[in-house]
Amino acid sequence: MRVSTVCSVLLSALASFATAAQPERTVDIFAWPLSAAKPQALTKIAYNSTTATVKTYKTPLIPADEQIVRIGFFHPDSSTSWNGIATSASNLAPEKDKTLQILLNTDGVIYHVGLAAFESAVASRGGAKGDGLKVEVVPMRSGPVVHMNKPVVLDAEGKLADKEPEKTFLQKYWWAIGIFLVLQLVMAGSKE
Amino acid sequence: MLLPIYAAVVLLLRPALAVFADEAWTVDYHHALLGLPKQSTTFFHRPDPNSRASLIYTLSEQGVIGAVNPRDGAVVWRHLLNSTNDASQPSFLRAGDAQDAVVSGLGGQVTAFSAADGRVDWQHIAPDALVDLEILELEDGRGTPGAKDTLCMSAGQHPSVQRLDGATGAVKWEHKIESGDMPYQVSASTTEVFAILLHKTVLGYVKINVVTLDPVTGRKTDEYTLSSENELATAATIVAVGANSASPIIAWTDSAYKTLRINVIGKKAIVDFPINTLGGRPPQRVALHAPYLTTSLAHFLVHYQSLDADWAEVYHVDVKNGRIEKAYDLPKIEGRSSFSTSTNGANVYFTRVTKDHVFTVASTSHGILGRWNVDSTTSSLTDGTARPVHAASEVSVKGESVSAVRSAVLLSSGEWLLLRDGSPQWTRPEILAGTVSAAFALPSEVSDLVNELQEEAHSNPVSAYVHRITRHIGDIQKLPLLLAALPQRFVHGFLGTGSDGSDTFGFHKIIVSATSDGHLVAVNAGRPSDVLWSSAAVILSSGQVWNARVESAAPGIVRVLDDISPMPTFFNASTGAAIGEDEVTSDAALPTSVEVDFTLKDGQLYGTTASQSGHNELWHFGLQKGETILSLTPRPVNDPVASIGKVLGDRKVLYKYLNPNLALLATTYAGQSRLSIYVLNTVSGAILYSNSHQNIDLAAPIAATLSENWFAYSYTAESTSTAPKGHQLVVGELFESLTSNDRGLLNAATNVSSLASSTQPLTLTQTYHIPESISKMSVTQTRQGITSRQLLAVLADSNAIVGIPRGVIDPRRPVNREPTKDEQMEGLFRYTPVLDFDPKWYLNHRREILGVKDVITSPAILESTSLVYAYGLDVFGTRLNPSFNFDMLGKDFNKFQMLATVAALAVATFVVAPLVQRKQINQRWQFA
Repeated sequence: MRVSTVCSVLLSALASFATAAQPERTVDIFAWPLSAAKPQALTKIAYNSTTATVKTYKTPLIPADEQIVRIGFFHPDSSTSWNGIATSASNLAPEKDKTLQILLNTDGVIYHVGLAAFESAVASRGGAKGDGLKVEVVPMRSGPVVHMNKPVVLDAEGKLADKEPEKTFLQKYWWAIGIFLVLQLVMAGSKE
Repeated sequence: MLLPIYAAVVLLLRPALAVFADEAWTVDYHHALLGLPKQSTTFFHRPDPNSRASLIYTLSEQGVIGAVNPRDGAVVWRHLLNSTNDASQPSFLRAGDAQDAVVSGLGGQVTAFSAADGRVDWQHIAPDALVDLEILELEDGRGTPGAKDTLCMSAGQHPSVQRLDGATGAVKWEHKIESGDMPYQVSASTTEVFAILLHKTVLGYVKINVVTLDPVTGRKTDEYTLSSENELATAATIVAVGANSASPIIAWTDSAYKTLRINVIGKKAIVDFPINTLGGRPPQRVALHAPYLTTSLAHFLVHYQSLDADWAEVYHVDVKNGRIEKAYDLPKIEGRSSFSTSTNGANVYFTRVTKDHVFTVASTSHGILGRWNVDSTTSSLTDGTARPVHAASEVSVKGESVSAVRSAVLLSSGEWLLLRDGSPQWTRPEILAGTVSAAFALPSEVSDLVNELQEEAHSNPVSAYVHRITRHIGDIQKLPLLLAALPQRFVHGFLGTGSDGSDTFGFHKIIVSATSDGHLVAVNAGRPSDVLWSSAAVILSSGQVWNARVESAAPGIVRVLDDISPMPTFFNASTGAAIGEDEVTSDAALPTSVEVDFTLKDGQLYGTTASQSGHNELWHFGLQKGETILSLTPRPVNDPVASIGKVLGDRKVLYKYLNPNLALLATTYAGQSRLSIYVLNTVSGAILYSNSHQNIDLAAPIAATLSENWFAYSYTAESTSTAPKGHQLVVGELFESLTSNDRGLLNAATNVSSLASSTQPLTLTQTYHIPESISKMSVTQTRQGITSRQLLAVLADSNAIVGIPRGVIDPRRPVNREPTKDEQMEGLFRYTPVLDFDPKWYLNHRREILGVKDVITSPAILESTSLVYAYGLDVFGTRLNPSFNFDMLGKDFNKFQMLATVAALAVATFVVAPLVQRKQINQRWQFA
């Protein structure tokens, strides 16, 4: 009992150490109304491969007649090439529950963003809560693999190892003998 | 007792699940093509020296070597030598006189085949790319008896000439060319081997350098330079280096085609002949035709080709003193003609094929030995739409005269035609072997009527009335024809023989293909034996490949997009006529009001909207460093879906995620053997599903497709510590929710905006091991989408196409447990890790479909049927019924029996009716 407690404590410590050791990266997310000349900073997010936190959040200034806003980030080595999505301007309204999705590739680096916005009543459970913006990490799934059948395991003699020993006659048919005996007893009793 | 009967019944029932045996070779068609034959690699040759039967051998531009039976045009054997399809690569094919062997050279590979059956005798890898290949016709007794040796010349860093043993392919000797000259050709006379090299002078001119080699040891015995100091600017004006004739020659001209200079190789003298234009335009091309045998007379023909006419001169070489003299002229004939050489013993014959005639002359005199008219009106040669490009001929000689001549002529329309004494025997549509893109054209007949009716509806009553009367008069004029055809049509329909020409089922769609040499070719999907039309759509410079894409634009009209013209060009699908863009009525079936376009450019995928000026980029999906795009598959524009949900066994519904703006993107990481799959929303740029596979063999083909609400892709996984290397197929399906009768966040919404909505589909995936890699995938299409779909997979390794039923690869198959009652009701069965290709799924049956690059599908008018057309090298097409013929009677339906039964019943009714009536009346009046 004690050993297992110690083990679990140790393991959890290790796990937290592993999380802490992961490089924490930051990314600046911009909002870019379709008619605007240049993007405006929306939020700064710190993330690692499992969690993300909103560092800063600024409610974007969107013209009233604007329909579409682009949300994205600039590539680290370039100031013109960007990755991002288009979303309806109403999704960034303050009354909506917004969840920014950070899509990470297998190296744990952001490659794309997503935005889920719902009316407050249908609020989804998200990650760390920012100033009107939640953020969640969507790691790259590993591709589906073939579900293999159970391998056939043979023992040293080349026979199936986990073959169950056959039941004896008594083990199989004890109930029949039992019924027979009870019947005999009852019949014997009734004859008297 | 009952068991064998039961087994027999079961055995009888099983084949009913496959294609009906009587449909296997009627609904599908296959052209086993070779590709466009080249002049230098096409010839008649007798595989068995004791028999007079010969075959036509060719090594085509598409890199296919094959033998064709001149009797019926059937392929005797063929091999695809390279799959890269690089037509600019030089290729060589030679056959030794009276030998059962042909030797091919392509790239750096020399292969000897048995001429009769195409079995590989030996293979030799040359040090570098081949420049020339010859068969050494040595008669000195020191060569190997039997198989004749091969000479090959290779270029590259260390150019060399090698002599290969004719029986084994082993190198007998190798002569390294160390002078730094460019190897050009190799040639052999009866006693010597000549290596022709090109020496670049300081001024940029080319000098011809001849190195004489000893054929036994390969040692250099002599070397001389032909004095052509500054007359050869490039090697392009070297007309020919005659190989293997009794006295090989080398001929070249100046760049203006003023003089022809000829040298007998081995002799230093050069003879000049002024080119006689016969009062016409100067020639644009000069070609030399000489026999390939050392035993033949040393005569040759020089063919001059100007813009509008062809003429020729025949020369004789005196073998002893190397003197060349002109023997006679062949007259100038307007229009293209092609010349070919054939031999019979020592005699040499030249055959000329023109638009109307075939002539044969002997090399010794100008008297015409045989003259035939090209006597068919159906051939594209005689109706003037095509001209002969080149020909290979074989003559039969009886005494002094030529009794018959067979010519295999390549026409400019891309057909390969065999003329036997001027009458066409067969044509092969070899142009289709170079198809780069193809599309089904929408049928136009119905839309014509719709257009006319619309015109009547929109004009004023009087003109509409006049229009209608004229339309009816036009219809009445067709009536006699219709009435005359009616009995025949009735008989055909009654007996089930042949088709009546009408296309009520939509099986006769026109398929328009763009070929790499700039042609557009149309074939009928219902009657594929003949090419409907073929036209040169663009003029390409030599070596240029047409990168075109054909699409259906409107009923009866196709659109061609290429990298030459910035705007698409339009063509009428039934005639091939080019039409202006303004004449194209927009297609009602396809949505034209595109709000968001998406483009793939420089490894960046982005969406743009045209509604705003200025910053119209809507979304961006740039790739990571080292990531390259493998394929981008959008959902087909015309992809009807009959049901928005899947009906489960308990009559509940699982809703499909049906978004018309889906695209499947497959990317790889260089050096990391990683494959990533993304499903994108092409309006908002959002990622709907993504995954990444590690440890993938990126050299193996990776295929992907997307249709309805599901996608499929296949790849080859490298071996790991737990699994061996193997091919895998992944199928994923997108649902709105995984709870039945629930649409998740969408609830009852009928319209959803990709931008405003935040719904994410739920994706189910399953992976299977498959027996071989898939090079290309496609999905069947039907008119309404009611019929279940099939995933069509091209298997490049077994030259086959399989149609995998959708139900078999349903990602909801239960894993590691038996299906429940409800799942069984739905047709799901237990998941198995290995998906074996059922022999019944093979669409090609036992035919081999070589080199398929893509498969296209199109709906027929019948809901049950999808038309399939595969192209690349071979052309294969079929009709598929994934849910069987539920709306069509099979061929085994006996119309006669049905009509006889109806007639018998009618007769019986007429006979019995009075009797019954009398009996009923009697019953009323008679009292018991």
